Amino acid sequence: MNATVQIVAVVVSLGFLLAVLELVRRRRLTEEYSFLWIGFALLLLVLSLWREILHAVARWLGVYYPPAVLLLALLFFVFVASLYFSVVISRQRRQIERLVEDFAILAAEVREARQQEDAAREAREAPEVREARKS
Amino acid sequence: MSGGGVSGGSGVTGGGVTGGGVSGGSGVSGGGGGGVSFVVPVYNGERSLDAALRAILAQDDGRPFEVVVVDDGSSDGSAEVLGRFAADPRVRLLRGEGRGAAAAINRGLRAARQPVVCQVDQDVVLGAGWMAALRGALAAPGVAAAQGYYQAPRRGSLCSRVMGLDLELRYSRIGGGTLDHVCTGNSAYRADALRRVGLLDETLGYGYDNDLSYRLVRAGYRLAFCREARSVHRWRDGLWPYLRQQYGAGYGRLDLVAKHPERAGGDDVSGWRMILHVPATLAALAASAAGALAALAGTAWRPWMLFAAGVAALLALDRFIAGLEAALRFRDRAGLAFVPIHLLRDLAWTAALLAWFGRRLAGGAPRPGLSMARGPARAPAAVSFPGLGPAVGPVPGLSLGLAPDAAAGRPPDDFLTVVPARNEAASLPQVVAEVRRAWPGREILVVDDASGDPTPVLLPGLGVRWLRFGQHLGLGGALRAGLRYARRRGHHTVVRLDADGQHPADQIGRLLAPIRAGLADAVHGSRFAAGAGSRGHGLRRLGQRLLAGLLSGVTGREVSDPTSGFWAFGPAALRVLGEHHPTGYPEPELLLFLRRNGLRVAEVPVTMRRRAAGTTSLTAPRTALALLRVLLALVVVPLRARVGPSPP
Repeated sequence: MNATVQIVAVVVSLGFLLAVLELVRRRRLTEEYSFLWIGFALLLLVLSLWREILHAVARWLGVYYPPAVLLLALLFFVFVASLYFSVVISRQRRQIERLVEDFAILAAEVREARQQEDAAREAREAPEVREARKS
Repeated sequence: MSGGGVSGGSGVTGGGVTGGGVSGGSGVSGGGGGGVSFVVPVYNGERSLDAALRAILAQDDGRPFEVVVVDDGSSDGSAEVLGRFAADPRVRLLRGEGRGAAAAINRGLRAARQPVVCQVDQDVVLGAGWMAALRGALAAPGVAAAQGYYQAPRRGSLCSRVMGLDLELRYSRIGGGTLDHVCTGNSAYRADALRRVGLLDETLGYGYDNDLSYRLVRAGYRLAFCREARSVHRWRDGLWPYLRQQYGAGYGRLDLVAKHPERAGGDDVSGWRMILHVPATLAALAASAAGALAALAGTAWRPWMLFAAGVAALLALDRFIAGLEAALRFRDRAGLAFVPIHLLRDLAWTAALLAWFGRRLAGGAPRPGLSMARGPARAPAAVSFPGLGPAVGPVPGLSLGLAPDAAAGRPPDDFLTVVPARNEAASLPQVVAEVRRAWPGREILVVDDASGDPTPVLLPGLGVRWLRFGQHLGLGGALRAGLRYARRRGHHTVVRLDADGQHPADQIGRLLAPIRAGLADAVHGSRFAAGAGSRGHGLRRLGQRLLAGLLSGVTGREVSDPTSGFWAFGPAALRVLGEHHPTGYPEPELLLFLRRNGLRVAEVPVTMRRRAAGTTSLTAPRTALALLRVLLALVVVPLRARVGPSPP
C-alpha cells in the first residue's frame, strides 16, 4: 500500500465521519443511532492512519492478505448493524400496533359517548317538539 | 425529574408535616417534645412483617407516635398480617400504586405527621432503644438523618449471613459518627430537611437512599451513624435471589453514578475498594477472552491468562482478608465463604455493568427502575393521589383504566362476542344477525382491520359496537384491541367468532360451559374432536394433523384442531391476552402461549360450517409461512419469560 492509497483512505474516512456528524447536526440522525456510525468512522480512520494495526491483526489471525481482514471486519459490522436495525424495526412495529389499537379503542369510545349525549339531549326535548318532529 | 417531583414543599399535601416546620434550618426538632412517624413500605413481606411491626410498636415512648404502612400491592399474605394491626390506633394503612419502593416510601413520607420520620423496612426487626438512640443523634445541630446499625443475623442461610457480615464489616470500618450516606430501611430523618431537599427520586429502583443522602449533604446537612441503634435485617435466602439482588444493586449503582458522577468512587458505606471490584472483574474476563482467542489462533495465550488469573487472585485475596476479619470479629464462620460468594457477586455486578451500558448504547430510554424490577412489570393502578404529579416510570402505551360504566357490573352469564373482520362484508351481516338471534341482549363487537371492501359502510347500520383500524394489523392486533375494549366495558368473558360464518352461534354455549364451571381459562372449539363429526380432507387436513400432533406433544394434552378460530376467554385469559395476544396466524401460538403462562385451556367439540362467503386466506405460501412461525413458536414460546397480568 503506497502513500496515495493511504491519503485516499484517510480522506474518505474523514469525509464519512463529517457526513455522520452533519446528519446529527441537521437532526436527520438521532444521537442514539449516531454512536454506531461515529464509532465505525473512527475505526476506519484509525486503520487508515496506522496500517500496521491491520497487518498485526492479520498476522495474529493468520490471514495472509491483510486487506481481507478489513473486509471481514466490514462484513461483521454490517451483519451486526442490520441485526440491530431489525430489532429496532420490530420494536417500532410493536409500538405502532399498540398505537393503532389504542386509537381505535379511543375513537370508538368517543363515538359512543357522543351518541349517548345525543340520545340524552333528545330525551330531554319536550314531548311536543318530538311529536312535531315525527309528523 | 428531581427528588421525586416534590420540592420546596409545594407537593407536600394532606396533613403534610406539621410541627417540624418551625425549626427552619438548624436542628432543633430532633429530640424535643415532637413525636415520631414510622414509614414502612410493604411488598410481599409476609414472612417478616409481623416481627418488624411488633418491634416498631415496642419503640413507643408515650410521645406522639404513628406507624404509616404503605402496602405497594402485595400478592402474598401481607394484607392478612396487616389486617391484624389495623385495629391499633397508632397504625395507619395506605395503599401504594405499585410503582416500587421509592414511590411507596414517598407516599408514606407525605402522610407522616410528626417532625421525625423513621423509615424502616419490612424485613428489619428493631432492637430495644433503637428510636431513642436515633432521636438523640438527630438532636445534634445540623443533623438531618441518622442511620442505625444492621446486625448480621446469626442464623439463616449462608448467603444471608454473608450479606449481613459484609455490611456489618463495612459499618465497623466507618470512623467517627458522621458519614455521607444513610442507608434506607433502618434510619430516621428530620421531616423539615426532607421537605427542603425533596423526597426520594421515584425513578430510581435502587440507590434512592444514596441519592437522598447525597442531596442532604449537598444542602449542608450532616448525617449521623448511630451504632447503638441496633436492628436485625433478614436478607434474602438462597444464592440465586442473592445474586439477582446484587445484579439489581449493581445496575442501580450505575444509575446513581449517572445522576451523581462525582460519586463514582463510592461513599462511606460502599468504598472505592468495593467499587474497584467491577472494573477488575471486567478486565479479568476480557483478558481470559483474549487468551482464549489467542489460544485458538495458536499464538501466545499465556500472558493473557496469567494476567486474568492474577487479577482474580487479587480479588479473591481482598475478599479472603475481609472474610477472615469478619469471621474473627463477629464470630461467624460464614465469613470464610466470602471468597466464592463475593466472586460470584462481582460477576453479577459486571453483568449489570454490561447490561447497563448495552442498554444505553442500544438507545433504549434510561429506565433506572430496571435495577429492582420485581417480577412481572405491572402498570400503575388507575388511582391517583393529589399532589403526585404525572406518573414516572415506564408506562407502555395507554394505560387506560376501566371506562366509567364498567363498574356497573354485569350479570354472570353475560359475555361479549368479538368478531374480527377483514374484507368480510358479504358474510358479516348474516353472522351478526345469527349471534343476535341466538343470544339476544348480548353485546357484539366487530373489529374492522382496515377492510377495503364495504365493511366500514355497513358497520353503523348493524347495531353493533365496532372498532376500526386505520392500518392493517392482522388478527393478533384486532383481538388485542377487542379484548382490551371488552375489559374497559367491564366484560369478564369474551367469545371470539370468525366473520366468515364458519362458527355457528348456537355452539357458543358449549364453549362457555367450561369457563362458567371454573374448569378452564380459555376454550377453543374443535371440528375434529370426537363428537364433532367433521372429517376434512386433502393436504390441509394433513398439515393440520401434523400440527395437532406437535402441539399435543408439547402441551401434553389432546389438541385436535389447532387452527380453530372459535374461542372463549375467561377473565384470567382476558387480562393477559389484551396485552399479549400473539400475531400472525395466531391460534397455534396462542395455545402455546396460554400454556406457558399457566392458563388452563380446554377443547370442546363443535360443528362448524363451510365458510358462508369469500375464500380462505390460507393460500399455499401463507400456509407454509404460518407453519414456519408455529415451528419457531414451538421452540421459543416455552423459553420466554412469563408475562404478568395487567391490573385487574
